[in-house]
Amino acid sequence: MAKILIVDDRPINREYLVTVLSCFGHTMIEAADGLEGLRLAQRDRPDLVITDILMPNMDGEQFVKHLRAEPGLAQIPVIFYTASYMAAEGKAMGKACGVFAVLVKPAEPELVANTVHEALGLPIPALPPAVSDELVRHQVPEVVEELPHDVLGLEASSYRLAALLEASRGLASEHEPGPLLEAFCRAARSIVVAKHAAVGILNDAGSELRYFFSVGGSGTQASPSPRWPASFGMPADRRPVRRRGLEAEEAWSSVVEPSPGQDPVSSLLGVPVCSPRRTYGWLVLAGKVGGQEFSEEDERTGAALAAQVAVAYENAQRYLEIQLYASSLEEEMRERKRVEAELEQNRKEQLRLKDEFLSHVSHELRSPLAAVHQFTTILLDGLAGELKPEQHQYLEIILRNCRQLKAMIDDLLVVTRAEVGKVLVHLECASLADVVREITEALRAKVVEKHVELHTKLAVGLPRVWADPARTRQVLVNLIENAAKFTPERGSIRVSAGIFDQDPAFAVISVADTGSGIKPENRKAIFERLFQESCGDESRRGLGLGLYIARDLVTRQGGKIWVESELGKGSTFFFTLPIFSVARLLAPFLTPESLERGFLSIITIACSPASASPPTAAERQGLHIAREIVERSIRAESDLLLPGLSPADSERHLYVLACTDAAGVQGLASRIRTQLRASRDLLEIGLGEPQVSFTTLPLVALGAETPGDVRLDDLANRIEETLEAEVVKGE
Amino acid sequence: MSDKKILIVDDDEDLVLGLGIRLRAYGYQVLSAMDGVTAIAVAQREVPELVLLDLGLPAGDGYWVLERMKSLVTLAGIPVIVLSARDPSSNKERARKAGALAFFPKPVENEILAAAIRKVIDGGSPRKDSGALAGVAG
Repeated sequence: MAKILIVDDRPINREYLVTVLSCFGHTMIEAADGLEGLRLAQRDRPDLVITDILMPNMDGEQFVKHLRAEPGLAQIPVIFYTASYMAAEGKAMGKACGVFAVLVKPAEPELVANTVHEALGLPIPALPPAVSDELVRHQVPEVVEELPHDVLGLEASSYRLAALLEASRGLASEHEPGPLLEAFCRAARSIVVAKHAAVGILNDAGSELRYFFSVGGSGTQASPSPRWPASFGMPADRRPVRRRGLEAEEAWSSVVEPSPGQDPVSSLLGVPVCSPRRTYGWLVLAGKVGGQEFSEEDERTGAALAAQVAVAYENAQRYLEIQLYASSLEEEMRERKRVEAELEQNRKEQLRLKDEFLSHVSHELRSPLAAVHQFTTILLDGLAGELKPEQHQYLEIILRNCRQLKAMIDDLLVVTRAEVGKVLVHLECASLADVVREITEALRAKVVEKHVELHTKLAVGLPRVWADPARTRQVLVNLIENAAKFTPERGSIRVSAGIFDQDPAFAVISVADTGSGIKPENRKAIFERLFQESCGDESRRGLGLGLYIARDLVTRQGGKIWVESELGKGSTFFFTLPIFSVARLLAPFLTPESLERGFLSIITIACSPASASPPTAAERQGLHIAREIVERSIRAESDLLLPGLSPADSERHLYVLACTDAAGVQGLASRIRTQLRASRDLLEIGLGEPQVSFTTLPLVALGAETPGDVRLDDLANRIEETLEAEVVKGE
Repeated sequence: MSDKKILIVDDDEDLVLGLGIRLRAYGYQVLSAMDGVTAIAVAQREVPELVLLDLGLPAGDGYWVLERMKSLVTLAGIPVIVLSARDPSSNKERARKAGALAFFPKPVENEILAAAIRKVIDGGSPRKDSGALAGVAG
């Protein structure tokens, strides 16, 4: 069978022909442009060439000329395959360069096959004859050619309109000015059917080219400075211009570099590219295919396309602007984030330096203070001889101030540590009434000394709270000392405690004074670090840490702190603490899974011998240390550390609840014992080893018929009772 | 008088004097050194029952003294209690790891220090309290 070369820059067109002709057993060779086509023709010597007319780097006419110039290729029959809207131009060109036939896209497969086979001198293949062979072969082209010219023109322009619409759709979807203008250039050339096309877009000032594209044969090298031909007038006049002959040739040379050996351009069409707003540049089409000059219709088509592209270009410009704007916004955001991160970094650094400074200062203060403390106690203890009563009294004053100074230094350290969460809060079941009574009694002398009354009012049946008594004492001391500092003589301080009416799960404690009050703008700031309300009595000035520490400690115990104040009348500080409830503590612990084990074990850890006298400071400290150790020894998910059920009990005992049987609890208890024995902290305070004992109860004994039958409240009550029994047993 | 020797290592003369007075009142023999190198020398010569050690010292700080004592056979067994003005949160653990038995921040209450010393030297057996001691000295 035959070897057929197809030259077309659009793969889809080549594919169509390959598909149709491969059915007949022909060998197909494909080339995407004229140059490749010539190279393949020389190499493969095809029996037939089918070529497009408008292609990159050379058009159909030039291609055929080159083919005819090659001795071995001159006789190969050629078929033009061209777009329908340029059928007339194609036919004219085909006639001029002697091709076998001009096929118009889209061509029916039969027509393609028949034309090819005829060109090859092969018999016409047997296909269902839709139309008579005779008609296909000869009559149709003749009839078409003989149709009145305007009918042909009408057909062409309807095709052209379709192509124009398609092109403008394509242009509208292009956002980048570069590709947009290139597509426009190609579309204009193929729709108007010119050999060459060039488009130039000027900068905003109109003085220089911003974009330039040219397509067409090899003779479209841009001139050193491509410009709208002077003879065309100004693009801003918005008038298309047509030229022919020498005038056209000369005008074209201002757009592209004339190259020797090229056919002179004999027709030119110039169209300004302008939107209703402004003129952007120009389009120049050169060398009307198959004719001597561009028609009025070409001019209109070109103008329509140019108007489209002007608007699209305008949009593309805006698109670019928006993109630039967006990226500058993005840049700005990044910059802002960077600055913020830097500020945060600086803030952290500042905080670190401040803490380092405070830590350093506290260290520097401790050494001389230690000496003052040491010698004061030496004198007080009579180690340097007998003291007169006055001397003893004055030394007591020195010692008291010494301790006060030490407390302030400790405050400093507490604050620096609080920043990094080093302060530990040990929640337990505590008597709020005891704490309030203890502190008001301890401070009474100090307050009364200032001729200020101190009243205490505790609600009847004040429940126990779930709090750290030591921390709560500290908060109360801070608040009462603060109140004393700002209350003038003959004023009063009222300390009250009761259930918080806004949330009965909390107790509220208040400290009211009859001082000067706090300005509204300072009511939040007073809880900040290093805040100092100006205070008349300079000698009573502290470090401005008291309320800051109070807030920190209250928050860590799950409460809130705030102040209400009236200028000239006084201030009332409030803080809340959660009320103790066994059920609340048990809720996360007594899950259906843990109840299923059927047993509840209680481990008792006793840190000080049971006795009527309250535990010493060292014994209290020992309990704290033991608590930390036990907390580390148990499994948080299945074991629960409980405080004693009365304040007195919680000063001596720790309890661990575990949903496990005797064997399980034995392991746990011995683990706790080992850890306690290994503790250096406990050794340091000089206490005996804490006693660890345990007991196991089946849940049934606690009132549960089946594991699923347990009501949390009931169980909580039963456990509470059991624990109370343990306490009694212990004593 | 007890023949139990306690070595005070501190570069603060006032503290050495004050602590010395108190410890003698408790009935101990008191030795002192004001820098790290001297501390090691005195300890080797006298072999005290206990060393009360400051951390900030010239010529070998407290940590150096702890390391040195650990490495010398004659001193490795001598208990050390650290008394320091440095921030306990960052030094307590470190001093213990270096071999100190206990860490007390300055100033320490006399009763607490006395209890610790008793516990270390006499195995925690109850002794006369500080008040009774004061009487002895006076």
